Amino acid sequence: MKAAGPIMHLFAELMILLCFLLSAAHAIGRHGREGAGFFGALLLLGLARENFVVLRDLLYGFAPLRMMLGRAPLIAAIIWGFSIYAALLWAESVSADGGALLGRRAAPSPSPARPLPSVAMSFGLVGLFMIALACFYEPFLKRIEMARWQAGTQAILDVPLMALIGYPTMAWTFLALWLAVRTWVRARALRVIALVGLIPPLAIAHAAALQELKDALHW
Amino acid sequence: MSRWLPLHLIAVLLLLAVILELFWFHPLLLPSKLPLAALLAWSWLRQRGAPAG
Repeated sequence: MKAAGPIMHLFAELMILLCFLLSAAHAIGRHGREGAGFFGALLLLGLARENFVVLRDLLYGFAPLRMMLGRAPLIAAIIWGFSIYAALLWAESVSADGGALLGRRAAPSPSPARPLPSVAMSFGLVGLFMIALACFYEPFLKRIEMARWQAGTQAILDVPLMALIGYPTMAWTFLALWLAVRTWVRARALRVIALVGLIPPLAIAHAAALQELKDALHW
Repeated sequence: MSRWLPLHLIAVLLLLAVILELFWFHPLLLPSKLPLAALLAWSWLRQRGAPAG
């Protein structure tokens, strides 16, 4: 087994950046302004979450990387957006009715835009895909020494147990917030204000809660 | 626009990781890729079986 060096890290950074940009272009091409807003919200989510993790020294740390966004590595901030969007599209591709959580008009009344079982099914599928992504990313990130979980973190086959909770819950909480704002806030400017005001606290609360849970469970 | 571009990107990343692990790192990591590979295969099989349009 060979050691991974800075070249491997740079390669991974560039690959994920390319994937993020192509996915953002895909979302904009498919959903126009809503797709742009969705990816902007995902970028804000990753930016807030990973900077908080670095600043408070929570959960995991990173190898020194070239591209940064604030105090956090760019790759860590953008991989959430790419992954959650891919999970959403995968859920759409396998659910019986299309299962799109993005791109449908909000209902004119305060009632949910889609029947609850359909939304619940989509959320379940998104969670499943995020867990599969955790199983893919985490052992690889450990092998190339890019992400370093806290000493003593419990893992199965190099997948930290906290990642199996953190990946799906990050997607669920973000999508729940996105759907709630889209459904109940009608004015576009207010939607932007609501998302900008609510996403950073959500990201921070998610990281802090995971650390609390990790400490409580000794995982 | 097709929904498949981001899923194809995930598949490419998966393939690159498998190649790196086979030839550079440790092949014992390969089973960790199976859940994602299975989910992608499921969606593609569903797509192939779906009626056109």
